[in-house]
Amino acid sequence: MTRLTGARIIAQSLCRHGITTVAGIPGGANLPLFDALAETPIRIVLARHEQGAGFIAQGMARVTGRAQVCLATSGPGVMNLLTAIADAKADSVPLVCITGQVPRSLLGTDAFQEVDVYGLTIPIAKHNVLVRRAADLPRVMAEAFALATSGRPGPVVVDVPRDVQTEAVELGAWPASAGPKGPAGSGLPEPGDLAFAAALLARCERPLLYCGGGAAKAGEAIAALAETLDAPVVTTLMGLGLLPPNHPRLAGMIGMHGAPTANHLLARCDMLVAVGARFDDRATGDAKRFCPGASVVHIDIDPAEHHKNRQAHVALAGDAGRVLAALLPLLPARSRPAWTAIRERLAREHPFALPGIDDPKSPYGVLAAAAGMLGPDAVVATDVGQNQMRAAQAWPCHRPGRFLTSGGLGTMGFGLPAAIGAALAEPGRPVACVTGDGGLLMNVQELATLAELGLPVKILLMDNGVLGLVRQQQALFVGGRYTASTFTARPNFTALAASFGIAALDLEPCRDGRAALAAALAAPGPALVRLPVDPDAHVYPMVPPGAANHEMILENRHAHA
Amino acid sequence: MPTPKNDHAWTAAASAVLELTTGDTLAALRHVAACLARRSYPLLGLACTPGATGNGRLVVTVADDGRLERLLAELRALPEIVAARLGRGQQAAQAGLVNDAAA
Repeated sequence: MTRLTGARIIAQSLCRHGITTVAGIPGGANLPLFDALAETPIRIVLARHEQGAGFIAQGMARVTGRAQVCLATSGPGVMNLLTAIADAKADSVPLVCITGQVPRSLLGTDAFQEVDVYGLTIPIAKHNVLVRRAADLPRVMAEAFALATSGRPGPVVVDVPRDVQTEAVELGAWPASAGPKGPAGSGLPEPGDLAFAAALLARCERPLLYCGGGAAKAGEAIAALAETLDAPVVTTLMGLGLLPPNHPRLAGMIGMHGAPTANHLLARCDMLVAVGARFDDRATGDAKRFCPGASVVHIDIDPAEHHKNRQAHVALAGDAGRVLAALLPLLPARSRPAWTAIRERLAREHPFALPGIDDPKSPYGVLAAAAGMLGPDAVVATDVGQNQMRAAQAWPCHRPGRFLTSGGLGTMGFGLPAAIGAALAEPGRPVACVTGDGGLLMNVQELATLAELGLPVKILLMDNGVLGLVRQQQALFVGGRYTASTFTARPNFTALAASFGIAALDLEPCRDGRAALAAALAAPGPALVRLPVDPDAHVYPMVPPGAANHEMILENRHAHA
Repeated sequence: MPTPKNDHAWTAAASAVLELTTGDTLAALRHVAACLARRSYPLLGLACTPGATGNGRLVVTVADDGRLERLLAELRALPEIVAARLGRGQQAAQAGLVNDAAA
């Protein structure tokens, strides 16, 4: 038996779960925990805002695929963390968020820096717990890690009153790492359901594989299924990287700013195999006209996703890779030449040429150039808006866990701290942060964190002085009335970066933009590269809100809208 | 193959009773209420009783709009819910309807 305080139990639990780095900010209610962490080898990254800490932890988790940890104190500390928790839930990212709380005797008294963390996080976390006894902490921590990573991953909030952190208890054996309900997602669908799905797939003529983030680690099985069915593969934003960009089966990303061929394929398929995708409105457009003539086989680890947005003919619950491994032997390989002919015709009729792709001083060109210079192993973290959509269209994603983006919640300010997290998790790997001036300003304080850490994060800033995607929607759908989407005060971003001690480059005056970019990317440590962007440069194609995916607005029709 | 209906128009009964076995009952109550609110399930009644084996029990009455299986799947996924099932009377009613339909 060992006598440990609650704070030391948490710290040692983190070590036992392989945590080497945590991000957070100390405050009155979590000081004992920080004190205990200082006794361990765990590296503490001091963010400048709790939302930044949450996204730093997300960056680590998205790259490694393992649960990572962020820390916040009670009251405003937790409030600042909420957006990162909700973001992790929306994108199924495993996080353990440990929050300080006022002492037990003050709970419910509206004490200084007290908020109802439990109540606040019910709808935005996968699970949450208010710890009332230090003796519960070994079990609570084991369950938190198990829940965060098992089944459909997500954020777990552990709220720990300050006096629970200081309470000393006798500790016997550490509990085994297991969730209260066992390892969710390890099961397979009923054989009858698999056989029914196989029968439907065998007799369809125009199959299409629609893959989301839940399929990201099942790329090989997806490719095998596509070969067996002679089917193309389309992905969501979260599915980018599950097949390499030059894979012959990959038809591109679907959705609001998806590839034209991919969006047109949706309207023509007669069988949709949805794998780890949740029929999100940004991907489907008008749900009633999404693959209107198709039967649906829906494979998802979360049974609650089945029939939620689209009624499936067969719903198969389980890990995508395991379900596909069970399904594949039941399927006869068959070529579908008529479907291939349709795909090839659509590809000819709807080419996807990105304007300025060869010009490193254009929005698409700088992305293509940077991707080429950083190489296929680079990680890119995007912000949200036009920069995000351009990156999704232009950045070649070669494997999962390399394109980090806030897909579900769409949180501006995600890019910079997520990039810091990625660089922390994988030292030596090139990391780019693609961002806009609006998004960068939402978590600009993390430039201080980046400078302090000296990480080789290369910030590619598309500076257009507006909320670009908002302005684009105002241009196309609000009669060109640009209400509250223009920044009249514009920082000098290169000077701003320099003030934090970060090297900065403005591409605007550079005669040889490619050489200047290459030098900035090759230099050690962080750097900010600013590219001025026309505020009226739109991102195309664009599916108007409420339209079907094949009803895209294309550049040649609306370039000067 | 025709697309299955997803309009929740057909209802087996006006309401359905769900029986939930809970761990921490207060936590379960809050999560169940949040789940119902988030998915816009009309809540008609809710009773909380102590269980015989240390677990608690929630009896939840909701309008049956054809989404019961999905609701049960979501409730079963809540860590504070040990078990979730249709109430016995509801199971019998559904079985009767199925038998009637088969006949």
